[in-house]
Amino acid sequence: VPKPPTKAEVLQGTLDLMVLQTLDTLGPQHGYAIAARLEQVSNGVLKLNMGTLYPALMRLEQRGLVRGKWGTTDTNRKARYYAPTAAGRRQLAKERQAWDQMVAIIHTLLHDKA
Amino acid sequence: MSVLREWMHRLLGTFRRGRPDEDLEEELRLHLDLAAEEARRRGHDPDDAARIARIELGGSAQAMEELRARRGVPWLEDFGRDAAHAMRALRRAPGFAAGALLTLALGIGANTAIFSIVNGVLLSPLGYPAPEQLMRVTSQFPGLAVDYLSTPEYVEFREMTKSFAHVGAFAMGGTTGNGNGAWTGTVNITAGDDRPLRVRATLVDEHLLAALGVQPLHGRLFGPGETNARPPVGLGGPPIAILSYELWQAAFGGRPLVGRTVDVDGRRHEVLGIMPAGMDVMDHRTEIWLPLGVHPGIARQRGSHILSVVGRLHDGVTPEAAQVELDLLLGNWRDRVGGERVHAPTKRQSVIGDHTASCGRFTTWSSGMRGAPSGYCKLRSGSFS
Repeated sequence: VPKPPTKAEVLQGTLDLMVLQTLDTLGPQHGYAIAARLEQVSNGVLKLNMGTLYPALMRLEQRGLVRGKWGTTDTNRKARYYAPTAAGRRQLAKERQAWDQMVAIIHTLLHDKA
Repeated sequence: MSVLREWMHRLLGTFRRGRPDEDLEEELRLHLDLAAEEARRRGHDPDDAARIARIELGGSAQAMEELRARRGVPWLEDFGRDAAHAMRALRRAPGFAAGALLTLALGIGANTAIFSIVNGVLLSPLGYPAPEQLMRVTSQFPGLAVDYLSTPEYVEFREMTKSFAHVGAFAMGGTTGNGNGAWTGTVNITAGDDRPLRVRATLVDEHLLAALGVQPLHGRLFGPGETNARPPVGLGGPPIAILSYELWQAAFGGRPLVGRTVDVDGRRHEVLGIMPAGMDVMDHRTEIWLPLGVHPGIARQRGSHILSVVGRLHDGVTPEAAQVELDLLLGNWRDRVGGERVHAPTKRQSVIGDHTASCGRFTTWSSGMRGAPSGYCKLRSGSFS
C-alpha cells in the first residue's frame, strides 16, 4: 500500500496566486474543481480545507480579482463558477513575476556554494 | 485599491447586502457532495464516503463561520445587533427609556452650560487690546496671601520701571480712604427715575485706564492728576464718575448723561463718560468707575497694602525681561527711594523670611480670565527694620 502523501501547509500568501493561476489556466471553475486541480498538480499533497478555500475566494471576489456567478455543472447541478477579472489577470502577472524572482533568490541562497 | 474595495464589500456585507447564508451553504454543500461522489468512485460505500468527505474537508460549519466573519465586519455586526436589541428593550420599558433620555439630556445640557461658562471665563481672550502685554504686579508678605501694593511702592515702581509703558492701580473697596465705595466695593446711586440703586464700584486712576487701553464710548476718561485731587473740605474723592454701558442703559435708559451729575453715596458726581459695553476689570462686573483718590494719610504709609497694580509691557518686552528688571530694581530700591529709615521692598533676607522678587506669567487658569491681566510680577516685600 503506498503511503498516503502528507498534507502540506499552504505557503503564506500563495493561495491567491494558486487560485488565480488555476482559473487562468482552466477558465471559470467552481470551488471543488479548483481544489481538485490543486490536489492533482501537487500529487495529493495539497488538500484545501473548505474553510481555507472559500474564504479565499470570497476575499478575491471582494477585492475585485475574481467574479463568481451561479451556473450548472455537467451533471446539471447548481454551482458557483469563478472567473478572473481583468484586475485579477493583472494581479496574477504581477504575483507570478514576484514569485519567480523569489524562487530564484531562495534557490541561489540554498544551492549556490560559491 | 483592491484592499479598499474589499473593505467596501465587507461594510456592505455588514448591512446584509452580501451573499446570504443559504447562498454560501449551497456552495459548500455542492463541494461536500462532489467530494463524497469522488470517494464513492474510489470504492467507499455511500455513508462512509460522505463522512470521509466531511472529515477531509474540515466540515462546513467551520467554513461557514469563516465565511460569515469575512463577509462583513463582525464587531460592527455585533454592535448593530446590540443596538437593535437595546432599542427593542427600551420600547418595552418606556419609563426606563424616558429616564435614560432625561439623564442624557441633563448630562449633555449641564456639560454645554459648563463649557459655556468655561469658554467665557477661562478661554475667551481678555477684552483689552494686546492682552498678552498686561501683567499683574503683586506684593507678597511672607506667609500671607496678599496681592496688594502700598501707594509708595506703586508710585516708585511706576516711576522706576522701564519695561512697562503704563502702570496703573485700582481698588475694589473703600480702602483708599476717600469715602468712595465703603468696604463692600459697592456704592449707592440715584437712578434717573429717582430710584436708589446699589451698584458695584471700581476705584481707578488714569494710569490704569491707560494700561488697559480703554477708550470711552461717550465723553472722556479720567485725566492726568484728576483721580487724586482732594475736595476742599472733608472726606471724599474727586466727585467725578464714569458709568458702565450696562448701568447707563439699565438705570438711565441710555439718555445723554455726560456732563450731568449723578448722586453717588449722597454726593453729586459729574459723569465724565460712558464705558464701552462689557468693559470691566478682574471680573468685578464694574458698574461705576470712580477715582482712586488715595487719602494723603494712607498714601504715605508703606505698610498700607491696598492697591491692585496692573502694568502694560512696552512692545517687544517679555515678561522674563520685566522680571529681570524687577530683580535689579529690588536690589537697590532702598537706595533709590532714600535712606535706611525707608521701608522698601528688598531682595535681602530678613528675620521675617523670604523677600526675593519674582515675576511670572499666570498659569493657563488665570491667564484666560476675562478682565484679568495675562501675567503677574511679584514684588515680594515685608516689614523691614
